[in-house]
Amino acid sequence: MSRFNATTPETELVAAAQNGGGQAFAELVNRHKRLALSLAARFAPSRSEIDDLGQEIFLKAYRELPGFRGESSFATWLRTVAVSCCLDYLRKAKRSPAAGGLELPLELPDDSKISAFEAADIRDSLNRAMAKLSPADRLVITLLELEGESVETVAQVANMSKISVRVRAHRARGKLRTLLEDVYGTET
Amino acid sequence: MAPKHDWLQSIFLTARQVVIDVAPLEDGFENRVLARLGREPRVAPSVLGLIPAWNPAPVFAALCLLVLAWTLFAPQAHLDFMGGALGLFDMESLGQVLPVNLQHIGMLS
Repeated sequence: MSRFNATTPETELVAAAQNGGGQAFAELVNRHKRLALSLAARFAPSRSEIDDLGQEIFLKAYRELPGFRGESSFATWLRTVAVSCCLDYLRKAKRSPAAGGLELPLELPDDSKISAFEAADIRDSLNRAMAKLSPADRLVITLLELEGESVETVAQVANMSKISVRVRAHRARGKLRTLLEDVYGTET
Repeated sequence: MAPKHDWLQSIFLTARQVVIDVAPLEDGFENRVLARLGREPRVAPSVLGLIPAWNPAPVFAALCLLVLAWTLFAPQAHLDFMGGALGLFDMESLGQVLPVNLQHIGMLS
């Protein structure tokens, strides 16, 4: 039986995984898989691709783990790795995936004023429009607007300057406004 | 002036509330990651990785300087050889004319 479990401190897990401890790394994966899969679901279109991208994130994390110095939390560092993986995924995709997680159920807050059907409709329209953005612009607007990250955090995890993040976000919003105007622009 | 209602921000806010439920993928996920790690080839330095990084710009500049120096100061035979090798222009004529011209401007004694 593994000596690592849900109560093992994260620093201990990281140190053991850095020395090649597979069980320690498995526990780290177990603790942070939702973070990686949720981000992957913002970009990958199908269940199998989300799973694959999620695995890629942890494979990259394992390869780069020796360079992790513990200057930030493991979750923050993993998020940087995940963002880099998602950007690579978008760049390698022959054409930008149109929608994230179509085959997976949606979760809505209890006090949501819209139905699951309306939510899915909005998500699909937005995803189709997002697919027409460049990979870096799509990444920036997803992190800022859908993940609710700050400009500073996006700049840090996406390895861009804050100005570059603002410029990309501005450009992406303009393009999305044009693409979605026919559908939603006249409703207000 | 009251801020204009931004329909795009409303879409973002709605989309932010919609979370894709990844729970169906979480089951056994760490085992799949470990299985893939097991199949990964060990990272070995490739032959290309052993070549130290180099910048072609200074090498190209050094070659240009060498050619220039050769053109200016090399004996006739060398100029003919280089002209033939490069095939760019009539080095025989250049070889005869250039030293004379350089003598005129004081670059060759």
